[in-house]
Amino acid sequence: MSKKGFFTDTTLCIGCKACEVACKQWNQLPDDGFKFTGLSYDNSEHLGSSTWRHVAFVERPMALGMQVSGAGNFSWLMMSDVCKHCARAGCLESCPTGALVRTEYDSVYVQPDVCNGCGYCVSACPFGVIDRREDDGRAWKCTLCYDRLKADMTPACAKHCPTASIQFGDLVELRVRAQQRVEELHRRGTTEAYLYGADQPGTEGLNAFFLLVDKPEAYNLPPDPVVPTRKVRRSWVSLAGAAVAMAALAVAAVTGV
Amino acid sequence: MNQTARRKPGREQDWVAKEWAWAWPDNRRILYNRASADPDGKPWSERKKLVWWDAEKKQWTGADTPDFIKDRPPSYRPAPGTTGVDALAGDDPFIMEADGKGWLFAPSGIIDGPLPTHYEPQESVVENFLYGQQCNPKRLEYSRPDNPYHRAFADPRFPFVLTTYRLTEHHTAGGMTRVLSWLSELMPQMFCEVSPDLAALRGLRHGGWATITTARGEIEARVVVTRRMPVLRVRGQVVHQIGLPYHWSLVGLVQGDAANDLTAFVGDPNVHIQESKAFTGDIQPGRRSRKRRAAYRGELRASVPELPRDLPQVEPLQGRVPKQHELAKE
Amino acid sequence: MKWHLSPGRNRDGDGRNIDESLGVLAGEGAHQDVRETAGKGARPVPEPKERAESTADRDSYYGLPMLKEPVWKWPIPTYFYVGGLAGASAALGMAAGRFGGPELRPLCERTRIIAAGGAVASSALLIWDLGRPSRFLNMMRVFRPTSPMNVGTWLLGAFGGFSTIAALLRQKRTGLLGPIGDAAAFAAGVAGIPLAGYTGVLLSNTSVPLWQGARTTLPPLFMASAVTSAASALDLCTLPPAAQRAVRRYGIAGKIAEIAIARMLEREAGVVPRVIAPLHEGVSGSLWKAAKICVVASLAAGVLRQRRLAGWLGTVGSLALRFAMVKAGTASTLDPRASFEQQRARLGAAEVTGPAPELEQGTAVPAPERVLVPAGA
Repeated sequence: MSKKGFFTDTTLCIGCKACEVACKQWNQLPDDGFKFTGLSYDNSEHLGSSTWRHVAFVERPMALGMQVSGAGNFSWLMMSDVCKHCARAGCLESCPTGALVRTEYDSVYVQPDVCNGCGYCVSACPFGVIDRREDDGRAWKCTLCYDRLKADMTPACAKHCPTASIQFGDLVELRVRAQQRVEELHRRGTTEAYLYGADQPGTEGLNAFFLLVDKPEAYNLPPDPVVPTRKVRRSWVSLAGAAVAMAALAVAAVTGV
Repeated sequence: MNQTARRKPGREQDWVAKEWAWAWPDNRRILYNRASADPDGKPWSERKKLVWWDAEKKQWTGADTPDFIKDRPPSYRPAPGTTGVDALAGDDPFIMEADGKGWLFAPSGIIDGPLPTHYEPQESVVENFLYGQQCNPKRLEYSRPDNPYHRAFADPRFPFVLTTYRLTEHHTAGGMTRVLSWLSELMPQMFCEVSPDLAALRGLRHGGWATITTARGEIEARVVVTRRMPVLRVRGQVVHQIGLPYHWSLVGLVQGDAANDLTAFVGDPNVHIQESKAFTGDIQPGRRSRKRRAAYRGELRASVPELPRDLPQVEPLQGRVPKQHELAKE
Repeated sequence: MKWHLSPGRNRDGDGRNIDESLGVLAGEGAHQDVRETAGKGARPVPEPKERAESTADRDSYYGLPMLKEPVWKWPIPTYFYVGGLAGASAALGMAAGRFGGPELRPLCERTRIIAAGGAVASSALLIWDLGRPSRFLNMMRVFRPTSPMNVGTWLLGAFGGFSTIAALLRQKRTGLLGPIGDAAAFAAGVAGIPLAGYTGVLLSNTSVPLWQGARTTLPPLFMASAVTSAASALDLCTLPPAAQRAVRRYGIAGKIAEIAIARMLEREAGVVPRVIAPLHEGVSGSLWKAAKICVVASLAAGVLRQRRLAGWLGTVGSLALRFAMVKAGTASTLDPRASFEQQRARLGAAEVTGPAPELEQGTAVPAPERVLVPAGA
């Protein structure tokens, strides 16, 4: 089975939120409560245990490259965020029960019948994607529509995206397509365009990657995310050193040396 | 095959690109494309040709789907007395019109014809720049106590432009979408959109409440202060606009005040659509006290002297839909 | 006017818009238990947070958190304290049993009880905090070295077994059971040492900026604090003079180490001031300060041979330290700029991989025309 993923081209996103609704409808997820934020047109704010696609709206006090607009020094960016299905996933590596697994499509999947709700994955995710639902007690996130993939169908969000901002497919092909799109945008004068996550070193790549036109921070994405496991060796070494010291201390304490 | 999903690049097909997606109903890309060919059926421009007459096959053909009677030769002329489609000559491209001709001058069919022009809406912030006649002389007015109009322009009580519109998440007034939690959570509350300048002028706080008032009624809404709502300059005058989505009302999972309570009933002469895209009003910080309506207690604010909407000889239509014989009399 | 949703049977108003008398719930999220949103009719919309306007400050997304805050509640920092206390007690008991004379035998017995009691309490606290407590045994479904929580579960399991045997056999000095009890106490001590500090690794192995930024010093800090906890708990017990002396030495060394390592931690994580900010302000800052003051005071009391006072101060200080660290970590996840600044300072993936192309790209984006007061400033 080839590796599958999403390429989300934010320059094509029109902010219709069809992906959010399609995801909730297909996966039969509940609403997250009614909250008016006043943050442009974004009233869901985050990905979460029952919001697996989220559209961010960034009102910027600056124009986009080559943009001709009556609004002047202003642009409105939209970006449909989703679980990145990291090639090395913090949630998966930290999961103590093996509830989080990698599927044959190279996606990261939470098995709801195994998860015991320890909450470790919530803090291990460098993107703040996975979350524990308090009334349910378990961790939930995007499954890359595993059930649809099994039936040879496109994930609901990509299927419903009216502008092909969300593109689903073989990762190898998606990366080529994404690179071509960046080059085309550069030719047209949108020189800010770049790929986020196609080759993220901290996670060894993201299976859901993005074409952005501003700093990652503007979209609430970390500029240099890392799987915590990659950095924790130093902690273990430090623990070993301290363990020797503690043993020595205990012996010294009783012998009075 | 899902025709709409076709994504053959333009460079791999001719310039009409009929294999990119689908144009309902017949994958026809350009309406009235018979007009791209001269009266003899030959393209006006080789570079921009769409359809042409194939004399051998005796039918219209081309890059686009011909928007014409397929086998009607350019030379066809209807016999006197023929009616309907038969009355269209071979060089009459505008087949939806009775005479097959494109109209710039519309002597019949449109009540406010025969030529397009510009009038200010029933309630405006400025005087009509083009004519002494302020508003459409053929508009349909409803002179009723519950439907008071503001001054034609520059009403000191209602200095701002109001405009109503839709959001993607809700359908029309929201009756169908406010009962769906997935849509309600995406747009849960009535709000108004104002520029930072107007917010500063009226002391509106982002995320706070505002009351929007017209002579017909008042509603409350959350304030969104955004640069998407530009400040206009009309003939040197600063014009502030207030954007109002109109998806909330009394029922459903999310409820709120209805923007349509503010609009005036004044119909366009042809299809009688009310003027909800441009009218005037006022905005103040804070919540409304109760739902005041002109229907219960008359105009919400004391009247001001009217300015003329019409030249002396003009009388707008009144009250009800005019019958065909009444129009004929005029 | 009364308004009704579609007349569903079981899931009416659970936010799924599905009438179960007409359709089957079979989607990937169908098993999600939803209790919070149940209810018919209009639901209130809470007051939004007031801001200057809806135009974004590009340095963050409206200042909203980028990370999810840790879901752990009070049982977890309490476990950090109890588990550390048990582990460090067992370590002292191991040393006393192996290297101490018979005059330290009461200390051995006391540490065995503390270790076993701590192990039981630890397990209870951990299970209590699970979202699905009935599935706690799933922790031992796999062995996963990349998950410190999984490693810790096995460690706690082993420690719990050894320390319980040791505690049950604490009065047996001869015969077959005596050596078994001693061996179990020794094994509990061996397991107890990493048990006292692995929780530091567990916290470090997260995306929480403070915990990740303090990953060298956090395990030793927790171990030193565990020594303080154990010594303080033993200070509150009645012990013969020889045992008191051993505990005193243990405690003084632990407290000195704790104070020194806390200072080192502030320096390690404080490379990016924003990351360490929660240790200086708010509830977590007060707790952190209180913890340090208590430990210093406990150290002074220990030096002045005020056993009981040192015990109480050390206990309060150790507990405060764990709560401070968990609360401060939570606060650092709520500040998106803590993560952003940490990663821009090349303390994200760049530490292990070299600078990411995105990091370079991001800085190449032209600066905006600054016309706004940043939200939340």
